[in-house]
Amino acid sequence: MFKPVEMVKVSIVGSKDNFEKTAETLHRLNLLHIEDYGEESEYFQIGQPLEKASKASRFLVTLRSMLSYIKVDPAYEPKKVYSVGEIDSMLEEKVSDLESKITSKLEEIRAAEEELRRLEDEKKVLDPLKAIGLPVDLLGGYRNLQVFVGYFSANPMEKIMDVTKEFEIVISPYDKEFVGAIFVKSEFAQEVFKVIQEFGYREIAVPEFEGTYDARLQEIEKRQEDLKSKIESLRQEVEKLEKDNLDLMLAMEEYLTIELEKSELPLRAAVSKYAFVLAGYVPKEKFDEMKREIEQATDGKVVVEQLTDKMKPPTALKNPRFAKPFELLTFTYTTPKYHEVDPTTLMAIVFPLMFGFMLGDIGYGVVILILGLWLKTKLKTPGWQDLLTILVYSAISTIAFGFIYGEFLGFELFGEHSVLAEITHNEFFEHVPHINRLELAPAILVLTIAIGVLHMGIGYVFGIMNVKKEHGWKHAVYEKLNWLLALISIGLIITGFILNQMSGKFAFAPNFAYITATPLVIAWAILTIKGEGAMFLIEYLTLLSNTISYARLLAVGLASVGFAIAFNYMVLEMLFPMGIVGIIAGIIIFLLGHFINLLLGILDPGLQSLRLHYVEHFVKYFEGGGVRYSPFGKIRKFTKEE
Amino acid sequence: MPVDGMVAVGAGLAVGLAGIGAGLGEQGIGAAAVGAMAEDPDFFGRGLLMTVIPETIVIFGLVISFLLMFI
Repeated sequence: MFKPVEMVKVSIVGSKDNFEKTAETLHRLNLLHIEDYGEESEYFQIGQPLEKASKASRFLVTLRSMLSYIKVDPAYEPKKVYSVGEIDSMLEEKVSDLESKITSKLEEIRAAEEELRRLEDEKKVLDPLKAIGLPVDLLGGYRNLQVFVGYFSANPMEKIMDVTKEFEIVISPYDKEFVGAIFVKSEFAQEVFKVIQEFGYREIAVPEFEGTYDARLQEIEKRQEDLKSKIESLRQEVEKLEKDNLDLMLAMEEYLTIELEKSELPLRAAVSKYAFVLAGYVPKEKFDEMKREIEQATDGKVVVEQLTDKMKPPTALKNPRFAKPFELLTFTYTTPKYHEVDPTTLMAIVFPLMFGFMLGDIGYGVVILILGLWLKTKLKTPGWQDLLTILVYSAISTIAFGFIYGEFLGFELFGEHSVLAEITHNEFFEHVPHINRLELAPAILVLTIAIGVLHMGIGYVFGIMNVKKEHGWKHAVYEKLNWLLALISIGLIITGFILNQMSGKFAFAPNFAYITATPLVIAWAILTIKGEGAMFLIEYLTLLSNTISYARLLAVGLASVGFAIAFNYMVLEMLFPMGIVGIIAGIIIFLLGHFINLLLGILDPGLQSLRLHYVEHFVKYFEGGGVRYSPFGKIRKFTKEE
Repeated sequence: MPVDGMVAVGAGLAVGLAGIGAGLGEQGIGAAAVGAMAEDPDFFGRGLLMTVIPETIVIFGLVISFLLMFI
């Protein structure tokens, strides 16, 4: 539960002619986390991909480029699952068939898009050219004349006169600039060009056509319409073709991916002239199965051995079913190291509790629960499923805390003058035990601090376990136990402070809590100075602020109650007595207000609860930076083995 | 529980000013964190962690306001 799956390091050694069979078996088993072979030596090199790799990758590129054209929903379930044998027998024929059908259409689309772009460019220059006022056939095609057509920031006529008198200029203002054409004898072209460059000359490429600009514009627009409808119909054809063949294409893609992975396995192995060696990690309980399967497949010619040296095993989290979705939150923070305590299960319990503690409202809880369950049927990707499961847990906890607080959309359900008691006139509801958050806020504040001390205390206990495992008891005492003592002393000091306040004494008057805290503070100080250095004494304040940080458990809750009560007051006390208009406005404000509050109610408790885990709890023990267990293999979805 | 007017104002200032301070602190961190996340989505967890660090200051303000109002 708190530990990842136990791994063993294995080596797989055999002669090269058995490599393909080994790769086949390993991929099917989907168990071995391969450690890539890095260094090359005199005898062992990194292997070469098998021959079929290049063909597979060529087909794969074609297929993927076709598939990229339509968006396939990651949660898509195939209607027909092809068998490997089926795919293998028709792969070549089908790929080239699809390619000839689809690729030619895609090329047509590309060509049409290209022409569309060109026309668009031409359209852009027609308007400025028209502003010059010369027909297009005069703007080019001379033997002894050079024509500069383009934009100018100012009229360059006078400056050109300095160079030559033999030129003609037609220029007119256009969109804060000038647009114009300069005709000049070829021998002066170079010098004139230099001059007009000073006037911010930007050339316009003059298109070739006959007739007026307006006629050309119409022509272009018509052509564009035609092209657009052509592209659209081609797209539809391609989409239809691909949709009809989607199962087959996905199956082939999967088949080829798997074939490619298998044939590229040598790249991860150490290979000598006649033999190969693969090294990696396998879950301990699966080792025997893997050994048996491989040795069976190769008639015992490939040897699977367990190695004793432990390098850096990958982490495969092992958590009870209910806690699995929370692995998402753990991985978002970082991947736990193999030897580290896995925080997921604890988080699976504490996270929803904190969420409910903050939101605590039957009405909101029910809405979030329904929302979460509904979205679970819509969003099928694993990430969303995990997130929504977390939301559902949180909603259930919110409902439970809603009963404890006696709140429903901000209304008080239980107690004197509560909604239920007033409506039903039943004394029973006046005496339902509950905790009114607004009245008992100071007490809840103290409770949140206690929760904080406990939560972080667990963190330090985990920290002691982690450090002990990696560096031994001495380090655990110097790095973690001292801080656990500090945390307890903070808890005691806050208790002493509260006790003095309650009995009306001076805040720092000695009492038993202060006295108990003193030796703990001294022990912490000595251990810290010896272990980490005097500089780290300042961290005591960080820990204190961490502890107080748990007050947010109360704060966020009060904010959401405050919102709800404010909206209810506006609607019931201010708007409803105003008559029919007031009632309509009231209903709108009621729905809108609670909708906003509900959104905040999902976002804020979720983020704050996450933050308390990430910032306050995890930093006490969770270093992370582990490697995630990703075995060589793939779970087939669109294909099946016979 | 009688609360003097000025005490209520003080409590409000404690939360409000602390909120402004935390907001100022978070704006820079948040912008940088989003930038880092755009480069590497794996940064999300740590980015969130960094961004919310100044938030504790608001909680201090809140605790102070509680002490003022209730004790």
